[in-house]
Amino acid sequence: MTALRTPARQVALNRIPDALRDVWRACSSNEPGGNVSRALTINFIGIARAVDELELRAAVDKMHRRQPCRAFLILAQDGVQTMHAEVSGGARSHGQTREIVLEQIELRVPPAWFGNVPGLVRPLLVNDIPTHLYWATTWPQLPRHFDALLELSDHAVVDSGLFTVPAAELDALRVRQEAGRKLTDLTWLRLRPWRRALAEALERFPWQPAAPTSVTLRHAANTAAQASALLLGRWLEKRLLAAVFLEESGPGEQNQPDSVELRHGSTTVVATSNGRGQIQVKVETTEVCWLPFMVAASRGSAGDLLAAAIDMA
Amino acid sequence: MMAEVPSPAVANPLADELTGARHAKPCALVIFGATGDLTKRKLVPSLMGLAKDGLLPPGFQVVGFARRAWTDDSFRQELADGVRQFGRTDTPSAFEALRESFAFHQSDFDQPQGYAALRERLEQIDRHHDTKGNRIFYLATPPSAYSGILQNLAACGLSKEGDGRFARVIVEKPFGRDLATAVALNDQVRAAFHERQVFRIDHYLGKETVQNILALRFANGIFEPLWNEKFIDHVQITVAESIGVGSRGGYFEESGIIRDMIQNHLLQVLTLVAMEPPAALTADAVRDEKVKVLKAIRSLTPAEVAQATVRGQYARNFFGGEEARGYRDEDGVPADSTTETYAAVRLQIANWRWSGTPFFLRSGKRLPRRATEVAIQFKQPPHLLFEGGRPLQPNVLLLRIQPDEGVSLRFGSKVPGPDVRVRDVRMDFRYGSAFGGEHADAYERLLLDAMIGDSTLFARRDEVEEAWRIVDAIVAGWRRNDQRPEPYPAGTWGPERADALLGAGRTWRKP
Ligand SMILES: NC(=O)c1ccc[n+]([C@@H]2O[C@H](COP(=O)([O-])OP(=O)(O)OC[C@H]3O[C@@H](n4cnc5c(N)ncnc54)[C@H](OP(=O)(O)O)[C@@H]3O)[C@@H](O)[C@H]2O)c1
Repeated sequence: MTALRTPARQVALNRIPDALRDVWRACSSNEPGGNVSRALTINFIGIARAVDELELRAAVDKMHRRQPCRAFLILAQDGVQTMHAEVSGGARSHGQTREIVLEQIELRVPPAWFGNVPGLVRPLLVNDIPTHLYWATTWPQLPRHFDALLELSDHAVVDSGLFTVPAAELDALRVRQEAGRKLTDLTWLRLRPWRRALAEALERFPWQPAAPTSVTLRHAANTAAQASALLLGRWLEKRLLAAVFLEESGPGEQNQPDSVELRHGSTTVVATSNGRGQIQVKVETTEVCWLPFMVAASRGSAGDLLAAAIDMA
Repeated sequence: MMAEVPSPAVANPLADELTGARHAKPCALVIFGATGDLTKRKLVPSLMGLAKDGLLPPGFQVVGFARRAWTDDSFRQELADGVRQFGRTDTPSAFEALRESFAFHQSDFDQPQGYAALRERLEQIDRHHDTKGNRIFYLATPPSAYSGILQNLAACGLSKEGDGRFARVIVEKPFGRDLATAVALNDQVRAAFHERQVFRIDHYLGKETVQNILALRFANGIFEPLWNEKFIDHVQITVAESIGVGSRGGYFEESGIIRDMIQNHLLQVLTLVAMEPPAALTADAVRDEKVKVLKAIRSLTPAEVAQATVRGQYARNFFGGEEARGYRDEDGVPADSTTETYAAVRLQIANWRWSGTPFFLRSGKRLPRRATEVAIQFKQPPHLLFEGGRPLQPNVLLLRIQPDEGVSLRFGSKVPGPDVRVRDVRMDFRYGSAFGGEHADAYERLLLDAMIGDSTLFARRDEVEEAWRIVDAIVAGWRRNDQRPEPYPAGTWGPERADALLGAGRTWRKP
């Protein structure tokens, strides 16, 4: 199996369907008996600021290998006067058969034009397959832009690690989830090994609902780590009825908690990131001190997590 | 002063994090035959695939048991090489992170002291890594070693479960070479372990596409109503290999294709295609239904064997750009060998659903292509309107297991134009396209299932024995009829007589 990419071509906004047909032509095999088919399984709408273009491209690249898609890459760009579109495609070839696995429409959108994006995208969505939105940027200053795209989609993925005011913006997200929107937060997926490590620790001693429980979460002083700690803290608060305290540990790049210290009666659980991709968990009761165990921390890139989020949706 | 009364303890309030996904409990894995080919090529690369996906339990440890004078270090080095050569992307770094979790235990399988020392080592692992006395023993050895290992494990108490601890044994194929040896082997296994502790690996069942047979049948409403003798003319199950026996001539000479492939992989696939819907997707519910299928296949009499089977042996031929050796010229094969490298068999499942729909199984070496597939061929419509009443190509639902994994449906469609002409077209689903990316190896799935304790995808004792009953009758018929393999040129689809097996109007597919 070999992969093939067609070069990106700038097109007028009203010529996008023609450009897509050109992509199919470019992908078709010239060999006699060869044929081309489309293997798209989803529509994908990815939004990022133009400065984060590379990250979005890398994520889409990872994702489309698992989920062949018609992808709209929407890059919010200051300093341009009008919306620009570029169309390209990707195919795989098996012998004489070519299969189109990516139809990419890239749009560079000045802020003033953002309201027009849903109207442009809607008629271009392939029908009868699900649409996934990936909001790979800060929480929108004008939430109606987010909501309009949410309206087009069956499922949306956000990364609260990119939010600028995590506490308030996580609340805004929760409001939409409670209203029945299917939303996945990549930061929540990154916390999966932490959740599992703590669940594993709780297997080692009996849980007494009446015993006082408190949790201290330490995290680096950055908004991504703060969002992560908030999500984990809120979850523990709800599930363990625990008093939760968040503490900043100082400057740092990490986007996951540094440590979680859980006290339940006379038992202490300490889960610490060892900085080498592992979470070390120690459990100590008045009678026993267990040997620490390790759980692999999430190492998935945004693209891996995005593909997983879409799989699970 | 009154003593404080503790409130009653409740179950782990976060337990759903452990059960929602498929997580295994902490355990140690002992591999018997750890210096062998299977360990290096498959087992450890697959364990690292699980590690990379975060699916190994915390504290997981491996002890390799073999005779050679290796050290922990040389063992780890060998495994690292294996993972580099045979593992999926990123598995070498997963191995580096877990390198210390692999230890080597040198002993002969027949030495009881070796097991006493193993036991001590496992107890130490429990203390240091909190593996809680949970153990899995993997018999990656020649079958002749099984009985000694099983007896020794039982004698030193390692096969016992209790106090929430599990002890499981994974047995590699072949499970015997006929019904009698399979029963004897199963008895030996039974003397040491309960059936629920036993995991007999048939790696075909770990393949996604094989599991998809159940999903296709029972997760969709459209196939099951047609899945019976009223609509299905016949079923062809093919496992074709383009390679010859290579260096395995000596081993193959003892088994032949019927024991090596049909008794296990092809009959396993047949049961999945033919079984009734199970009440639930639990291990015993699924396996009960599979066994019922095998039970409904009557043992063939020698006269029926002569009619319903074809044996072949590949002969020298120019194939794939070179002169391919004949089977009898292969190393380790006698010049007058009568072992079959090809077999085709017609089986009838005597039950309400399948009565009258034959299942054709064929497998061979040195066939034109490597391909594994199940072709469900539908009956012709009752009244032929098109092409002047001439029968058109029948509809075929094709389950491609490897390569090019997927499902396709062949049906007739009108050729555009003024005439009414019908041509075959294919509706195609490819795994690689719909679910791109890298898939876990069959062994990954099966190792994880054994750690979790889910035996759905492992062969149960009665399944193995029923399959041997069917195969034994065929082998006995061949012997009685003096039915020798017919030569076929390497790189062709087997002996010509195989065509006659299908009956009028049917042809073998050329995958
Ligand atoms: N290889 C495959 O891809 C494959 C695929 C499917 C099934 N299988 C099955 O898996 C099993 C193992 O196959 P394999 O190819 O890995 O075999 P192998 O390469 O021949 O390895 C045999 C192993 O058993 C050990 N051994 C043999 N006798 C021993 C004794 N008396 N005491 C201690 N250790 C002893 C050897 O250790 P020393 O070398 O240290 O003596 C070696 O580690 C077989 O049942 C085979 O049919 C293999």
